[in-house]
Amino acid sequence: MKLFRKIYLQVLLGILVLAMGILGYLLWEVQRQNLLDTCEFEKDNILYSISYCVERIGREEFDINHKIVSNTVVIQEFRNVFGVKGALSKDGKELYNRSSYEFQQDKLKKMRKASGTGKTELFVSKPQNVDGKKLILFYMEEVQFGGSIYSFVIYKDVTDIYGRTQRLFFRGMLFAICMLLTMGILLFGGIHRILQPLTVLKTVAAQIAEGEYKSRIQVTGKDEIAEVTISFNRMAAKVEAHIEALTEVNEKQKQLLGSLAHELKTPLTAIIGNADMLLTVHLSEQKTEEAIGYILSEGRRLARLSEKMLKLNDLENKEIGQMKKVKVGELLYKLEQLTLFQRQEKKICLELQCMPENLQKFMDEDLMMSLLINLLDNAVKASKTDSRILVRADEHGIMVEDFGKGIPACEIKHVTEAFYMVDKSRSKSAGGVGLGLALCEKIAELHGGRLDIESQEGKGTRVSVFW
Amino acid sequence: MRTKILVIEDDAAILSFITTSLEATGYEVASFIDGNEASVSLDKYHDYSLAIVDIMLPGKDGFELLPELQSYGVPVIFLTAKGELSDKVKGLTGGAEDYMVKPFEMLELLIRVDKILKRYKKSEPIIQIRDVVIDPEKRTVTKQGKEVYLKPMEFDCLMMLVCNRNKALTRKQLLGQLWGMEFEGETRTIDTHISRIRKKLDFQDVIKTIPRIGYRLEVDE
Repeated sequence: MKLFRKIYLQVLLGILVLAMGILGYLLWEVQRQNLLDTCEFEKDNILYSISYCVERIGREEFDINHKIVSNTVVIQEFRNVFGVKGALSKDGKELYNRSSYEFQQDKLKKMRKASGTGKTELFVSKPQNVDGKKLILFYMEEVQFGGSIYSFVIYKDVTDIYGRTQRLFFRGMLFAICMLLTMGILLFGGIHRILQPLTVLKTVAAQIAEGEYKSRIQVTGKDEIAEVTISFNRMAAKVEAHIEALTEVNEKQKQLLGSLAHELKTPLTAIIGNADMLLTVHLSEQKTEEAIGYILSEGRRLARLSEKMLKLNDLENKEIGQMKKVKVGELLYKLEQLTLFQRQEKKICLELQCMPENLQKFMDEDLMMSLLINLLDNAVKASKTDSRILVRADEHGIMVEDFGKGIPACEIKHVTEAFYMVDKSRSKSAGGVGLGLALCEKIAELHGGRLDIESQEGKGTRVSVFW
Repeated sequence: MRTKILVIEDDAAILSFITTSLEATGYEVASFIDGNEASVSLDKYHDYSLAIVDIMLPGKDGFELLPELQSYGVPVIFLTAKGELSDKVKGLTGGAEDYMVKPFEMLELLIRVDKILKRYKKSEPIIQIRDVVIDPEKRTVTKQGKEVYLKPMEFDCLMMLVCNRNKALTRKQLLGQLWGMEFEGETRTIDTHISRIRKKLDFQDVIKTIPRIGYRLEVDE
């Protein structure tokens, strides 16, 4: 995993840099302190030695003015005091140097001047690289012996101090690397554990992408990853719900389409068969008329079917809009007028009741009317001649009751399915296509209500619409 | 005695054209639009050569009627709007002879009826049209007692017209049935055959040419 590698390497690099920084700083500081201490110590020592030397020379009895003698005395004493650790010069000329180094007096002079130290004071240089060694040089430009002026260069070898620091640094680094390896192992486990939920997230996301919409992640802890996990689960739940809804709609549509194709076949068979017969068989006039009549009526049935299907489809995609307050009493009166013709044939008496009389309800009047006409149509079809149909409206809903043949108990739950017909041949001969109650239920749903069907075979049916 | 066929179909429009077409082709037809009624009438009379039954019926449906018909030895062709394999399997394993999915062509139904009747040897053994006698078994044609030689193709063509008597057949249908569907021949071949049959049997007014369609063998029953 890339993120894991990135975090892991960056943390390790950070620790390495930090360890090196701390180690370097500490060692540098220790070395500086060491050098400083050495300088102080040596400076005091040298100052003392110089004054001792001057004193010894003062005690010697010789002719100061005799140049060669006095030089010899000074060299003698210098050697006694400093041995191989320094060099003596006069007027820029080296008189004595038993050390293994060459000292460049001009450079020392310049450095002294730059540091602002006086000619008779002891100048202490920074550690210098001389012949591969680190030396601190002590330089006094003018020391007076008798009448003559000499200059001293004394050195202190500090190579050891540098070497020690270096050795310490390497040892420290070795230790740091050991620590780093240990840390690396610990960190590997730690970061792995922190990032573990991400791996799970990835796996589950892949599962969901593959179509396992039920997959969820168990939430552990309260960190940001846990929050992401919670959001992810919420998203997965939403996706699942959406997909389910879509699948259901799709399934319904498929079923409807299948039933439609099936419903289309019968009238098509009749039309094709009759037309084919007209074309190929020599028929009597009566038979010809009959066949043409069938073609016409089956064609009309197709037209009715397509009209109802379109209506159902419209309702399926419709959000109810123009809801108005409607006087229910007037609605029932209109219903009575509109269904006059159907009822006349069977001499059916329509009884209207509205409680209270001035009842008003919000509805889409056209849709509600079409629902009621459908219900009344069914009631008329089920009723015997000379019977009655009851339509009653109140606060809760509206009810259409007939006293006809009723619906068998096992078929009640199917009657609102599209193309379902209890008595197929009779409904067909009465011009039905089996979509009426499916339409009614859709309309009731659009009004936020539902359809309730109670029926007893042989006694009658009561369909209630609750607002 | 003419061959009797039972037709049970709940849609009056479909029942009508099946019945009329079958009658025109020379069968005697009893028809019902309800499964129960058909079942009751079967008790009294069941001497049918073949039954054409819709599966979806009010009352007893096609699957319920099948065993009854089989007990009387009546072969069954199912009609249905459902084209699903499971239904076909159910119908055919249950003992139905054949299966037609709506919408279907009447010609196809007629041919299947004919095939089944032949298999059950229930079709008329000898056919007489005016002074011509056709024996499908021996494949011989006699006119006024004298045998007339027809080439095999001509005989098949004649049989096809006879089996679908009073029903027009298109040249394409004849070609397809006689030479196989793949045959991409000239429809003129049919005209040549028909004119030869007409000449040999003196059938000029029996086999009628129907403009823009094809030919029809007309017989007054």
